[in-house]
Amino acid sequence: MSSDESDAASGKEEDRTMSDDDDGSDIEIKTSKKDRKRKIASDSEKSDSENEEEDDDDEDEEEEDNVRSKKSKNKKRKKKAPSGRDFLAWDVEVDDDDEDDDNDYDDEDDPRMNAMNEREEAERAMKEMEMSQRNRDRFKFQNMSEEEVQKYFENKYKADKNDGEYDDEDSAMDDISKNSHLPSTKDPNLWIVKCRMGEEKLVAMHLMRKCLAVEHTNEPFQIKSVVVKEGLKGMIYIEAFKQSHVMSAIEGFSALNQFTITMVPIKDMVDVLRVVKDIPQLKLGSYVRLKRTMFKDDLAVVDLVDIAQNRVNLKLIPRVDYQRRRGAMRTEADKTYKLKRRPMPKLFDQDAIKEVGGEIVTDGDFIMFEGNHYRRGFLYKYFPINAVQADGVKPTLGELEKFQESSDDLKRELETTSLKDTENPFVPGDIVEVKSGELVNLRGKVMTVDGTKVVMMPEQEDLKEAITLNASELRKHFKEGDHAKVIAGRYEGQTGLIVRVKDNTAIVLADLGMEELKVRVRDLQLCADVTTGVDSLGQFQYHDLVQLDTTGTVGVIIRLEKEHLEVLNMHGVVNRIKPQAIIGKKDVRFAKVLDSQNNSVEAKDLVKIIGGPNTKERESDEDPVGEVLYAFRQTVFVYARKIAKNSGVLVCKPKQLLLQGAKKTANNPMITRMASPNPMASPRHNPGGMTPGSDSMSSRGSVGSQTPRQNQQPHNQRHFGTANQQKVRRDLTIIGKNVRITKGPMKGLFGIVRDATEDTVRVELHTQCRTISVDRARVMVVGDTGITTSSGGSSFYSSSKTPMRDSSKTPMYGAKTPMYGAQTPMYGAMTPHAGDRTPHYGSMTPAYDGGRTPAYGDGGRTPAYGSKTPAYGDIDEHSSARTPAYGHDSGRTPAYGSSDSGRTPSYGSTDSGRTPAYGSSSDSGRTPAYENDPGRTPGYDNVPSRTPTYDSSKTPSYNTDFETPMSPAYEPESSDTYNRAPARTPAFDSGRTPGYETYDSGSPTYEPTSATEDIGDTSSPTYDSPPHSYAAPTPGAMINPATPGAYHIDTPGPFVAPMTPGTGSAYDQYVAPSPYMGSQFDSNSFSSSGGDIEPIPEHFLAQGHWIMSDLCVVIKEHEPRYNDREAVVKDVSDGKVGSDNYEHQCNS
Amino acid sequence: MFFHLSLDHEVCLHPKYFGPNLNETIKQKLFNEVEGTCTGKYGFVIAVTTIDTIGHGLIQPGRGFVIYPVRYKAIVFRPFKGQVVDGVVSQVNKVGIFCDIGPLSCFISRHCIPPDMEFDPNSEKPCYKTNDEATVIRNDDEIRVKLIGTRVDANDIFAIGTLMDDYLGLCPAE
Repeated sequence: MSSDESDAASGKEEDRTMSDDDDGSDIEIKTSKKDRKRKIASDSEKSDSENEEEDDDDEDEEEEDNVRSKKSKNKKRKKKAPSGRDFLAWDVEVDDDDEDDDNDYDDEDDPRMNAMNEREEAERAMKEMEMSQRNRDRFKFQNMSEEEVQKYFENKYKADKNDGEYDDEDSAMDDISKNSHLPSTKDPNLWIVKCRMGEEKLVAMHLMRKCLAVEHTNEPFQIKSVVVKEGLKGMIYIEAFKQSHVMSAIEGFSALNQFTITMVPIKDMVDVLRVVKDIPQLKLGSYVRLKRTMFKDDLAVVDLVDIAQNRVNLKLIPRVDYQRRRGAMRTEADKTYKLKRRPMPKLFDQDAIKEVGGEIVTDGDFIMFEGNHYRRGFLYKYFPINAVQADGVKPTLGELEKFQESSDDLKRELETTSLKDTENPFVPGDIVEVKSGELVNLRGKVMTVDGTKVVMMPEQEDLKEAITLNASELRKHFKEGDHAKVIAGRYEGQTGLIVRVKDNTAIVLADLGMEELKVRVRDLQLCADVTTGVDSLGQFQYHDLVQLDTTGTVGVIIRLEKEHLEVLNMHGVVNRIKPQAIIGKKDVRFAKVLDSQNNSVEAKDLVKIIGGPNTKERESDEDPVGEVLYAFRQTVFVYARKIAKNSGVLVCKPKQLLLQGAKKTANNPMITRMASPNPMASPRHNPGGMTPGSDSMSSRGSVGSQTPRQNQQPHNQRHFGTANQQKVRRDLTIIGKNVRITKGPMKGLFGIVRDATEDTVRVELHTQCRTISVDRARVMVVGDTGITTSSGGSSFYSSSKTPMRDSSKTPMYGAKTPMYGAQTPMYGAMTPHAGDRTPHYGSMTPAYDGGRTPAYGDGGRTPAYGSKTPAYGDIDEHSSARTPAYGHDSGRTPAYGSSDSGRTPSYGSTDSGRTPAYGSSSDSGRTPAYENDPGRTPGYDNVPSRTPTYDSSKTPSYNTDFETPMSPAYEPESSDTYNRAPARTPAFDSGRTPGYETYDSGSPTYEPTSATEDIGDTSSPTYDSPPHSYAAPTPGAMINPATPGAYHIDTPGPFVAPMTPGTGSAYDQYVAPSPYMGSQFDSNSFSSSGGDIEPIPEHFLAQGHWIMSDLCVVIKEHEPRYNDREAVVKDVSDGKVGSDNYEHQCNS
Repeated sequence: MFFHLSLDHEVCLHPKYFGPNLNETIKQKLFNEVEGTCTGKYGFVIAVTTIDTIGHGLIQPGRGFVIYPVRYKAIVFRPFKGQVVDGVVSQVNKVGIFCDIGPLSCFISRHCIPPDMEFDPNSEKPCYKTNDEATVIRNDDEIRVKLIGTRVDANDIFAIGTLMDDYLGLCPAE
């Protein structure tokens, strides 16, 4: 790198040095010119010049094995160099007449001797080379005398000398003087040449040889030097003035890439060749380990560092052999005593030494024994620095404890000592503070981290450039109020706000639990996010109730740490245990206890703590209030947010608590059960005669339509005394259905039923990944009607209904028709399975249900009812007004009323609506039957009678029913039966079914009947009167009439609205309010219903069935201009219809 | 700090409210849903001052509910780091003082209370007091606090404060 005096003397010189690998220095081949001079700070190259100037002393020799020493490094190259380099150095030294160097080499002459031949050869070559190049460099000195030349160089390298001197002693001076050696534009450039991996050194050697070889030719090398940086793979540096020089030099080297030669910018040149010194950071008080001697691997504390002597005084635990006798007590045997094992480390024991005859001398504070100093039991001894390992020492706690006199001391030590870590604790983005050096207290932000180096951007305005610092010089810096996360230690993973930073510790207010954590600053990291409720540790979660031992001790987890749990046990004691120590979680969700006033308290209840150890401390305070986490035997765990202790979890006795507020309404399981008998189960029940299929239906219906429980209760109770006795059973019918939750916090969510009992269903939500239990009354089946019906959806009335209703709504008709279709097949199916009836019922019901069930059900029962009821209100009036008999009915059950009212107009409509056949059949059958005709009545009567049969075996009953309806026996009781009938719903069903069946069978009677006659009757207010229709109507007819009537008349508007498919959801909501639907009816539901008008199959109209408000009609016979046009019915009166579209009164 | 901001909110209305009082209902619902809430971004909504627009309602498919976008102006309270505020002490214990700054709850750690004030658990009400009892901070006292940090959650803001600065601490009784 720099030229030497030898350069001067020879005018030109080849200097090649090669250093050992171990010290990380470079190999270089150098052709130096006199006028070139470069000094680079802390660069090993510099040492070359020092070698020549050689003011180094003999101590270098001693330091030789100290790898880390700066001085030794300077010398190192010289001493450890392989032969090639030796030769050159020798050559140089000869020129220099430098005795010292000679001596140096003599000291380690072996390699040199081996290389003698080579040296001679090189010497010769070099001389020749000098000759050939002399002209260039020599001219300069041609006119100078020897002395002048001497002077010239002396001046020139004065700085070097200084540099050499200061290098050892004063690095500050060194830095300044270094600046004068920085490369300038006049100096040759450094060129980067890509090289084949791993061949860097080889190439350098070859280059040197080539250089020597071409020395005498016409084209000697024009490059100045070749530098191979240790550890830098794939490239070498070549120093030259021009790129072409480099090119020509490396020509023919396959390992070098001629085409990618790039220049190093001048300002980067220093950095390229900078050698990062790895000076062991031995500081007083830091922990080190010994690499050798008897104390190998022992931990020691640095007591004193003597750089000059290159040694360090360590405090460590002595290993003294107390077995061996000393002094006077020594015997012959002891002289030959050989230590077999090294003694155990133990604090120095004077007494023990005296026992074996050791002599102890005091030296001030110290005790001297066998040349070693001891104090307070510790050995203080000098060790060479290189026998000490300072990096990556991680003392174990046990080791540390031995070094401490007291635990307090230890604590302080732990907090204040910064143990040198191999890993770099900083990450980009950290705010750091310089803790030592001249930049102390400078703050900045970490930009990048590279090994132990940290590049940080200072916060000072004046410092605009990033600074590179050692990680050990930095510490993290936090301000109060920062939000940080603990990244290591006991509280790992917790986050919180920093309340205070003191020395090396910070106090963090945890986000959870309001507790203060004392954390080492280095374990913190700025972090924006908040730990969400302490996460779970394995299977355990915050606030889990766990069993702690086999004796029944339980506790609540109040804190989760990295490897531990804190558990507050039932005795109020906090234990810190490992998760493995927990026997298991305890599930006491449903446990209840009685509080001080014998209120039942269970989990999630709010309680006030009025006694015991957790009560308020002063009169003035308020009683603590908390939520019951768990009730377990006579222990209640209460969570009070306001209490900081134990994360707010308290252990109380039930008698110390007082329930706060009202309890959530308790569900009476009995009632629930009764309310929703299993449709499938119904057959079984039926034998008992208790649960009529219809009942189940109705109740289901209610479920679907959400009628409040209460409504159902009386009804159910009345009708199913025995139903209570049934056990909770799994209800298979609804499993797998799509349902929507219609009430409660989960309202509106959809899911699939995974399991169901009679009062609850387990719903797997579509939206959230979980399965919840929902009260049966709070779900509604949605989706495919077909499925529901076929699957005995009767239970889910709503589902089956919905479609029905929807259709039924506006156009009633439209709806029914499809139903019909569906039914028929159903029917077929039904008969086979009696049990199925219900389903079929269900399906049917829809049509009917609306009308029927309610009607029959006695409003109270089914939601449908409920909804109807309002309708009823209307209906009732109607009905009562209309027919006395009905009035009767209506009085009883709204259904009746409805049916009655329904009859007149609605009847007609229903009938027609269902199926023409139906319509006809029912119409004819119904109306008449109901009111006037005794014939019908029988049908009715039958129904009641049927019901029982129904229940027991539906299908059969059906059949019977069918036949029966006709039986006159019914008549007399018709009114009564009716009354009962409603209760029985089944009757209804049966009634229907029969009707249906007939249908299926396609009994001629029906259809014909349905035809015009009925319609005429139905639609017309005069309904009651038509006797002829009666004859036809059969039981089925009867049924129909009732329901349809109810539907139409009562609620035409309101009903429709809720039912509309589109408003499916709305419907549900409506249903509940339905009681007061009557009023709302006009405003809301109508409007919606209007929107849902469906075109009605023409045949309905053609048949002239019934007409009701909001019905879409096609005008059949009117003024020619209106014929065949569609219209919406506005009002119906006396056989006339006001149509919307045309504002016209039409004759229906 | 208080701000007067223009904010948006969506009011979801059950169809049963569709009627002559619809607008009133929407307003009422807006007040109910917005006032007293806290968003991490804007802070606590103290009061709605004006309702600028009530947009067109959108019927929710499958539900029948209608959502009205409402644009309104409200006064919001957003605490900032470094802000000095007055609060009312709500709880005093050995770890520090909890105080309420309007809707914002603030914790003053023992470490942020001047060291000359010590916790006295034995007095009638627990308090922090100086040795000479010249200053006593107990429940329901008004104190002036400097917020040194806030933790902003999705729907809550929590602050920690300090009394270790000039003119902080107990407010002289008026």
